[in-house]
This record gives sequence, structure tokens and C-alpha cells, in this order.
Amino acid sequence: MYIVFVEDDHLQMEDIEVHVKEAFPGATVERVNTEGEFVSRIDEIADRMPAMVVVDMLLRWADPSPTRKAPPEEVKKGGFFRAGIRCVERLLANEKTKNVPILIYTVLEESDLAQDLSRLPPTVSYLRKDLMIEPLISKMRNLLSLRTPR
Amino acid sequence: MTELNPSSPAANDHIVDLVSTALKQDKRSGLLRMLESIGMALRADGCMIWEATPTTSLKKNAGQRRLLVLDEWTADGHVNNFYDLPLESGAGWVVLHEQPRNVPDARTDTQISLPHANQIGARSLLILPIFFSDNSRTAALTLYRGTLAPFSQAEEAEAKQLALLLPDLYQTIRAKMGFNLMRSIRDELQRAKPRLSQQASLAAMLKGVLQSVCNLVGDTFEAVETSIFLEEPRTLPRIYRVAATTWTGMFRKRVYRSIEKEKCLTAWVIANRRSVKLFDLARFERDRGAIKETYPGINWADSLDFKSTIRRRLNLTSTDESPPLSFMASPIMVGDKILGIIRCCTAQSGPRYFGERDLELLDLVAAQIGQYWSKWLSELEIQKENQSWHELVERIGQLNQFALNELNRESLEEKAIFAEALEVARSTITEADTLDVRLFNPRTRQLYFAKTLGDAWQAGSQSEIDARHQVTYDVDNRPAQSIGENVFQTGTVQLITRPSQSPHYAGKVNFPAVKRMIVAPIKVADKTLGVLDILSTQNRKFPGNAERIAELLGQQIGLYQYMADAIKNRRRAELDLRDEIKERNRILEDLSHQVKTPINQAFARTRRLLENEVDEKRIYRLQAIRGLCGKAKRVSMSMKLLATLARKEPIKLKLENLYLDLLMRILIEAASDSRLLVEPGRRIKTEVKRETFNPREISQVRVDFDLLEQAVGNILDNACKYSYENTVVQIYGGVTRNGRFHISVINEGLPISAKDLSHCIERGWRSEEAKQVTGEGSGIGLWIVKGIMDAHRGTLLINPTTVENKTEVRLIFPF
Repeated sequence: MYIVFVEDDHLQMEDIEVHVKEAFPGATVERVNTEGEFVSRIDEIADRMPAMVVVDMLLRWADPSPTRKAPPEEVKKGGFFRAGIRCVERLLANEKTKNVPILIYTVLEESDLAQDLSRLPPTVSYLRKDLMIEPLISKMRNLLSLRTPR
Repeated sequence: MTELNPSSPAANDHIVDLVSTALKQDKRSGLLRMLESIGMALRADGCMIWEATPTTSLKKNAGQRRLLVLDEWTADGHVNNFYDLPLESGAGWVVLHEQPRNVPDARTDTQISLPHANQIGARSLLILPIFFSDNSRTAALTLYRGTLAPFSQAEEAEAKQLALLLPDLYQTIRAKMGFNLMRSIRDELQRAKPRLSQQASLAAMLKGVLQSVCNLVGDTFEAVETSIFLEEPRTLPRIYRVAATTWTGMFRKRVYRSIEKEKCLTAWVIANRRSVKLFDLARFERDRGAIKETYPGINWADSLDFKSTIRRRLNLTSTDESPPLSFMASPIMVGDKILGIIRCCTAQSGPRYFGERDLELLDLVAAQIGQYWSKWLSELEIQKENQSWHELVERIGQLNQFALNELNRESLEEKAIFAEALEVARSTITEADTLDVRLFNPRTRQLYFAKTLGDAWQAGSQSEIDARHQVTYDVDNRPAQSIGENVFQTGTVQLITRPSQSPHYAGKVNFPAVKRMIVAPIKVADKTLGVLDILSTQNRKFPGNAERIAELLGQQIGLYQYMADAIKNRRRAELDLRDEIKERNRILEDLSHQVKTPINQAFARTRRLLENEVDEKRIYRLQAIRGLCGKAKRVSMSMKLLATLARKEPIKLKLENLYLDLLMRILIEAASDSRLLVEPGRRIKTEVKRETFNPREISQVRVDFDLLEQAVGNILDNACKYSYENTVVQIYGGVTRNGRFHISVINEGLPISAKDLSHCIERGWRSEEAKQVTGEGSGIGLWIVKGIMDAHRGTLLINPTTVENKTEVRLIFPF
């Protein structure tokens, strides 16, 4: 099972990875650091047919680097707060990943995302970040069990 | 006596003499000169010309048929004092039968009135009909000799020839007379160029010109009295004052006011707008019936005491018959508007009275005067309007400045602006004497008096004054119940004359003496905020531009009111905002304080655990926790410092001497914590250059340790966040060229351009590149560091990025 996390906070990810691997033995957990990395790797990710993608909302575009590329206009305009939504939309637009369960996992309140969530398909779910990991694991189990087997 | 052959050279000479005499004449007296020429040609002692009473048909009303002397010449220059003959006389017979009559001896001809013949000293007479080519008159020419010397056939033939020429020559003289008069009057009137004056009326300004016109008319008609009365409609409507006169005697009646009630000739002409010509005022009572048939309701009051004055001037005895007191008057009009009257009166020895032609000429004179008078009135009106516009522009400029000063005051009070605006209205519309501003109250939906001006507002007792000012008017009635309500609903200015007679005016605040009023909307764009009332108790009308001025002032007042409201609302909002910010800052500080304690405890416990820990993995985890606690601590401190700096208050310091050990611990912990918060895959290291810190230099520095931790933590945070992967963030100390101690951090990463250097320390600013590589962040880190260094009287120095992408941030401390 291949699970992708789009998460730019390595400290949070350390904790999450441990618990996810414990809850889903044998699963490959991959982390994508930044929105920029996600955009450049989405085809590769899609080819690998992930069982689920967990997306943080607030993502930086890239790490400092002398060779970093400038972000596209929509990223400049939309900014940091809409990075997660843009990643979700790319997944939905990709033929291979459009039906993959997507979990938005963020500190933002559901009411902050109400307008976006209302127009996203049922394959996209929301969970607020918590100090406890259990709600995340529980939600992931639920979504994976509902997934149509290939 | 030598008989004349009518076609003899002598007869021709007489004709030539008559014609050349006629061509030299241009006055009424020209007829006399022609009679003289005829009389002398035929060696007569006298020559008279009679005409039938002009307005009476010869065929009817026998009792009124008379012949009047048109003019007469006597060889010895005496003046005959009778002026008319009955139609049943020799001259009357000639007029009726249109045939000449040669009377050898008046004593034996029964048709001739012997008393009249004796009166003029006529013995032999020759009477000839006179035919005017336009049939305008019926006349007869009488030649007479005082002795028994009948006129021969040849003389009769020559007289007929001369009589044939007489009418046309007389018409020519009349035409010349009329032409010269009109031209002279026109030249006089054209010279006049009245200029607006506060002191003088138009008539006073043009007195000289009008007097010249009077004199010209008087000379032409040989009138004893010629007077012109004129109205100045805007200043004194329906009042006709004497503008000029040739009468040198007593002049009692100089002004005509209530024309309908006046019983006199002048008032009748003005009221009926018709010319009048009366043959003999002395016979007014006797001829009243006939006169009133022609001029219904006319009366004569002899305001000049004409009858007595003329008798005295002509030295007439009580038995002498006075000559006709002939009168004519023409209304001076333009269109159907009556502007005044010109009247003439004549009474001179010898037959002098005004004929129809004279009245027609006077009508033309009146029309010309009317044309110019109307033109001057319009020109003055235009001058006055221009002046008032000019003054209004100036006053509006002053009003705007006044309003600006008032609006900028702390204690803004728009009533002062209204008061000033009302003063402007009063000074530019000089007829205004009672004014007010009424504003709309949206809560009660009524108009109320916001400001008033004028003595009428302050009349009566204090309670009456108060009651008057407290009256209100509804605005929602359909149809409108008051003038103000109507103006408020329609948004259009209204001019009302005799408002006390309007059902919409009387009843509330009533000024009975008001003769006219203007009510203009107080508006801004399409929104009506109230009305401006301008009232006048004067007889003069408002000037033509008064409504426009009122409308303009209404818009100005509307704008001031709108701005005053906007400023008051803004100030209220600012106060509210200030209060809200104060409250938020207080909450921020409170939250910061609440968070500070548990974080400090967590930080301290983690530090203690680290002191005794040996397991590397655990050390790493505890260091990460310490780093997170440190970050949380800095965020909490930032909230508190944000509140203090936002209030522009100084940061309070708890200063202590700086020691090397403590400084090292702060720097090493901060360096480690910052590194651990960065993605491990980027392999960023931190290095504290211990050897650069000299204890002796440090010991002279006094700092607040918590704030030093905050400042160092913030700049290290930035250095690690923005460093490129596989680089080292270096922390070192030293002394500047001025000998001041500094702590510096150098990193290799995102460059800061020289252009952005000054922005770095601005609250909330982050560069575009910074936003892309960090995502979260409020942009207040360096702003807080600057605040901390300012509190220490130190300096935050950021050096521009070098070509190797190295950026240095330096904290410089005072001694």
C-alpha cells in the first residue's frame, strides 16, 4: 500500500510516520515536502497509484535554493493558504488519481474551508489536526476500507 | 387796385415764394408762415385756416359741429381771441359745399357771422375749401380785408392756386417736423449709457437725457407743459414718477401710485393704455358727455392749476376768453407692458391746439422712449446680475474657507457654517431680509429650523421666539401640504409671490409682511437634506438670478452638511477603532501572559532533562522539544511586545550585566534550537565562534536577558529558514570600529537586496521570495528585534548580501 503525505513540517511528519506504519504494516509512506515538489512529482506519484493522499493545507512553495524556480501565477496570486487546495485540484484533474481517496489534514477549521469543500467530490474528506494521532489513523482506516478495490 | 393775372409772373412769384417758404419750415409755426405768404401775396389783412372738429362727423350731431382755427395770420400782428365757428357760418358753408365763397361785404352777407367778422375786423372776405389729398381733414381758408375791398376774380383764381398747394406743403412741413423730432430724440437716447449705481435710480441717472427729450417735444409741439412719467418695475413696481418736465410752475402731483384709484387724465392713460387728446380742458365739464363717450371713465383734476396759471401768463382779464387748453398724452409701452406716459399741454395766444397728427407723432415718440427705457432697464438688470454673480463667486470662496476652518475644528458645529451661508444669501440677494435653513430629521421625518437670520425671527417675547423656532413640517404628505414639503419632495426651487395668500404658507411660522419668497432644496447629488428659505418684505422683486443663486447656495449648504456628517462619523469610527485596538492589545498581553508560564515551565523541565540525558535519540528528541518550547516562548513574547510597540510605548527593560557563560549558553541553545526546527534533509549547521567573544568586552554590557534571548532567537530563526542546504550559519561576537560590542549572525541563503534592506525592519513586511520558502510568518520578527535594540539604545544592522550570497545581521550594544 502506497500512501502519500503532502506535509512541510518535518517534526509533525516524524510522529505521523511512526504511527501510520504501525497502523498499516507494510505500507509505504512517502512524504512530499513542498507544493513545488508535489507539482514536479505528481505524474510520478500518480503512476505509482497511491491508495490515499493526505494533504496539509498550509504548504510553502519551495526550500531556499539558488536554483529554485519561480512559482506559477496562480500560486503567487492564491498564496500559501491555498496551497493544499491546489494540490487536491491537481490530483482530481489527473486521470489516474481522480478517484483516489484524499484527506485534507489541517489546523484550519472546517468552516474556513466550507466554500472549497462544498464543491469537491465525495472522495475528498476533511480532518482537523489534533495533538492526538488516533483520529487520523481512524479516519485513514475508514477511507481505505471504502476504497473500491481495483 | 391792380388786378393780378393768375398766370402772370407776379402770380408765379407768389407760388414760388409760398413753396420756398414752406420748404424752409420744420415746426408747427410753419403753417403760420405759409398763411403769411398767402396773405401778403393777396394783399389781405388776415388769413385764417379752419378745420372741422376732427373727431366729429359733419353729418351727425349738429350741436357739436364746429370749425376750429388751425392757424391764423394778421398783417398788423394782433391776435384774435376766438377759436371756433359754428358750421352754420360762411366758412362752414364752404366746408359743407366744398365751393369757394367770395364775400364783397360781410355786412350784407347773411351767411357771414357779423360779430365774428367785426371781431376780426373783416369787411371783405374770400373763403376757399382746402382739400387734403389723404382726406384726413376738412378745412377752409379765409382771407379778409378790413376795408370794403372785395377780392377780384383774378385774386380769387390765384388764391385757389395757392390754396391747392397749401395742404401738401403743410403735410410736408408736418413730415419734416416729425422726422426731425424723431431723429433728434433718437440721437439723445442713443447717447445715454446708464451704469449701475447703488445710490441713483435709472431715472436720476438719465435725467439729462429725458429732460432733453422733453424739451425737444415741447419745442416741436410748442407745448406749455411736456412731462414724462416712468416706472422702474424692479425697484418700485406700479409707481410712476415724473422723470422730466418743462413745467416751471408748481408741480403737486409728482408720483402716481394706486392707478386704479386715481381720478385724473394721466392715471386714465396708464390704466387703459390708450392715448388721449382733448381739445380744451377748460371745456371738460361742458363736453363731459362727448369726452366720456370716447374715453369712458376719464376725469381731470387740474393738478398743475393749469387754468389759473395760463390766464396769468397770458395776462387775460376776467372777461377774456382763454385759448384752448389743449392736452394730449401717450402711454409709453413695450409690448403690452406699460412703462409710463408722456403728456403735453398747450395754451397759447392764437389758435394752438393739438391735432390728430400731433397725437400720432407723440405716440411714435412714446414708442421710442419705451423701447429705450426697456432696453436700459434690461441692461441695468444684466449689470446688476453680473455684479451679483461676481460678488457671489467671491463670497462663496470666503464661505468655503470658513467652512473648511469649521470642519477642521475638534468641536465641529455646522450651524456656524449655516449662519455664514445665510449671510452670503442676504448680501447677494439684496431684497432678502428673512432667511432660514430647515433640515430633514430622518427619525421624525420632519423638517426643523436649523438656523435662522433676520429681525422677523427675533420679534416678540422670548417664548414666542422659541415657539417659532421649534415649529416642524412633515415631508410625507401626498399631495404636499406646505411649500417646503413640496420643494423637499420634488428637489426643485420655487418662487412664490404673495405667499401669505397661499394656503400652503399660512398657519405655521407666518410672517404676514412677506411679499415673496424663494424656497430652494438643500441637496447633495440627488439626495435632498433640507430646504433654504429666502423671504422678502420689500416691494422690489427679486432679481432675475435670485432663484439660481438660492439653488447654488442650497447645494453648497448640502455639501457642507454632508461633509460635516462624514467627518463626525469618521471621528466616531476612529474612536471606536482606537478603543477596539486597545482592547485587543490588552487581550493579546493577557493571552501572552497565560501562555508564558506553562511554556517557561516546559522549557525549564526539558532543559533539566537534557542535562542528565545520555541517549542520543532521546537527546535529539528533547532538544527538539526544547526548540519547540523556545519557539513557543518567542511567539508568546512577540505577542506581548507587539501590543507594547503598537501602542508606541517603550519596552521596559530589566538590565543585568552580561556574562560570558550565560551568553554562550543562550547562543548555543538558540543555535541548536533553530537548527532542529529546520528540515534535517537540508543539512544546515550552526556554529558559535566562541573565540570571538572576549569576556572583558562583554562584562561592560548590560542587557535584559529575556529580550536578548528573543532577539538572538529571532535572527537565528530567520538565518536558518532562509539558508541554502548544506550551509553553515555562523554566530560570532566582536567590537565595532567605534568600540561597541556586537553579536553577529552570518548565513548563506536568500539574498536581501539593497532596495529591500529598509523594508526588512518594517512591521508585517516580507519579500516575495521569503513568502515562497516559508509559507507561514507574520513579518514582525526583525521589527521586534529593532524594538528590543532601540530599548537597549543599541543598533540593529543588516548588511547587504555579498556576491557569495552571505548576509550578516548584527546586534550592536552600547556600553
